[in-house]
Amino acid sequence: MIDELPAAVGGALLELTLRQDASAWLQIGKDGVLNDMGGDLEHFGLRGLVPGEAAAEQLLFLAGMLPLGDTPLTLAAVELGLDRHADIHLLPEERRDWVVLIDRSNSLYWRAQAQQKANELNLLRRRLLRLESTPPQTSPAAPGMAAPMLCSALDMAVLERQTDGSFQLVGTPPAGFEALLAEAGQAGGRLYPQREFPFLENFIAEAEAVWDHAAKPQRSGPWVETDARGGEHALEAIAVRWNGRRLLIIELLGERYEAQRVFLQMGRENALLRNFLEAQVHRRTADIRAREEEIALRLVWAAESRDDGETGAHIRRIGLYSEALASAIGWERSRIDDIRIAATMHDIGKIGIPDVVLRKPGPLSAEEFAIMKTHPVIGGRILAGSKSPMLQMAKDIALSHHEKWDGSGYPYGLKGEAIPMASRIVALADVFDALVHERVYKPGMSADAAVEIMTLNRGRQFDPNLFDEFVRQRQRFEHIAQEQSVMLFEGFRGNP
Amino acid sequence: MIRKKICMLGAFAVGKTSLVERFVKSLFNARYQTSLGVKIDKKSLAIDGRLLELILWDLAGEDEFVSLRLPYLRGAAGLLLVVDGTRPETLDTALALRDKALAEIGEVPFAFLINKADLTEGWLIDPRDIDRLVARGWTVLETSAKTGRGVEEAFIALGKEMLDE
Repeated sequence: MIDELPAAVGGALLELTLRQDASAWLQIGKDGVLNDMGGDLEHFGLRGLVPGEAAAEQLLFLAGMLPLGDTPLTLAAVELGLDRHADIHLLPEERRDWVVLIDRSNSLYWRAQAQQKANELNLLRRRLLRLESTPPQTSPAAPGMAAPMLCSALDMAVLERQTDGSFQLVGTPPAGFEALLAEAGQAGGRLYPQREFPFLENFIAEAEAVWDHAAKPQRSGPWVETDARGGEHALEAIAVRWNGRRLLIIELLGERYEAQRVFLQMGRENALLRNFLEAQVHRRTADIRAREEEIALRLVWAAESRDDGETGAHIRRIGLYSEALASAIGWERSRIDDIRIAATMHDIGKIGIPDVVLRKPGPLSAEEFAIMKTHPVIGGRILAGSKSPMLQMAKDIALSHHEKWDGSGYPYGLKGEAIPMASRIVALADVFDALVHERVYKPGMSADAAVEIMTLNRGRQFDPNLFDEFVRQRQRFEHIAQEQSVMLFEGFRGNP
Repeated sequence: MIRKKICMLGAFAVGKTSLVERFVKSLFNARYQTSLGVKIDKKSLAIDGRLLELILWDLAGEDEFVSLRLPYLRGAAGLLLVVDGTRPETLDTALALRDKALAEIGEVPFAFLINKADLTEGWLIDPRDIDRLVARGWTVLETSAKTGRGVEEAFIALGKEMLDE
């Protein structure tokens, strides 16, 4: 638009705007690094910004917003502290984004002043209602002359509740009420707004408490009525007991409603945008995790296929039980995703156990069992040293899933909370699955029997609080145990 | 004619107002317009030869700015709990609102509407979570205020349940 103005006029307008409202700008690369900045940054309390560093880490309001797509964004009236409010305009270019801040503190100040005046008027109205203590002489007399006039000026209609349940208008209603009150079931000069407006029918139940017990005035919250012409009116009712009279004040909210609605809409649109961006990130992360999970499962399967006692479906199920239990105890989503994959690697150390021990059909001798008991340490060693949180968790699980709550487990005899939580989760999942499923050397047992046996080890082998949660989640565990279609990974059934 | 009050409940921007607009006026507006407070509409239906007038209370969506005012639920004979299939967290909100509402007004028929069925390829809601609702014997229907799919059916299904109460 500024292109359409003569250069001198455009320049003057720009000059006036900048002089009137402080402004500042930042230039940010598509990689999120702050490249350059200028203007009155100090005015907005933006000090100590370091070029060459990530912008979003220095400016909280930019978190999740950059890089921009093709569309500019405006964050209106953002509070930056020090009573400073700014409109923040985010403008995309091909290789960088611009952030322009324009001070809006003045306009918000004047809006606040206007609101203050309206509030003062409201207080004055209430004070008048209290002072007008003369009881009514004849029927539709006002609570006083000034109060209804004031109410009318403030877009409020005052109705007085009659003993027969009808209402009578007090004073003259503001012009905006004509269409609405015309529908309010007038009969013999009496109004029955509750018949026409179900909202009021509902609110009057609350209002009765105010009228009967002289409780403090009650507001209904806003509601919207549609008149016969299709026009929509935002209203709010206030139940007041004044000098023994039962008053229902109905307020036309008008622009105030729209201003509140727009404010709420802005907040929600921002929340939707944030959710959308989070969902996008989650979806892309999920794709990466799915690939990560498949690779892990294929490798685990390859490593453990020597063990006739283990099945691919068992490995997969351990991940699913662990996911369910971690979710039940309130872990955050990324850790839940981690344990679903990490738990499958709990027995990876068996790769280091010789065939003669691992595949022995009968019971193990003490010496053979001692060899078997080295698999957690081997697994821990295989998985150690990674920076990936998932592999760090996998290392903990591989190393500690045979530790017991009372310290009688192996390899280190860790006790209680010294055992990582992920390992305690997998220990429960591993035992439950082993008990309820058939193996070459034993039949499967019912979930009831499995839980009964496991209960004996609550506080011995298993973390007692976690065990209680496991019992609460039993249905989810049974559901996973019975799921016939559990595959090791897509297209590859775990029990080939 | 039998009159029944239905409350539309759900997180913000799940499509409660759009479902009512579609059902009552056969209209759809793609632009999101947040609701503030309550809007009440009416629509009559004939179900199994009985005439039923539904009083639809479209309540503002719940979020960190706005929470449900329980007195609005007084006299409700049924609840429609609206979920946005593209936003899984809205199912948690609907479940919490169901608990809150039933604790306030007692047991009344309700149905979960998984809305935005025209966008199923963008749904992020876990189908297992929906299966769990069905497994509890609850009515779960897919709706699209945009195309009208399942909308009338949803109100009729709840209407029938309310009449059978």
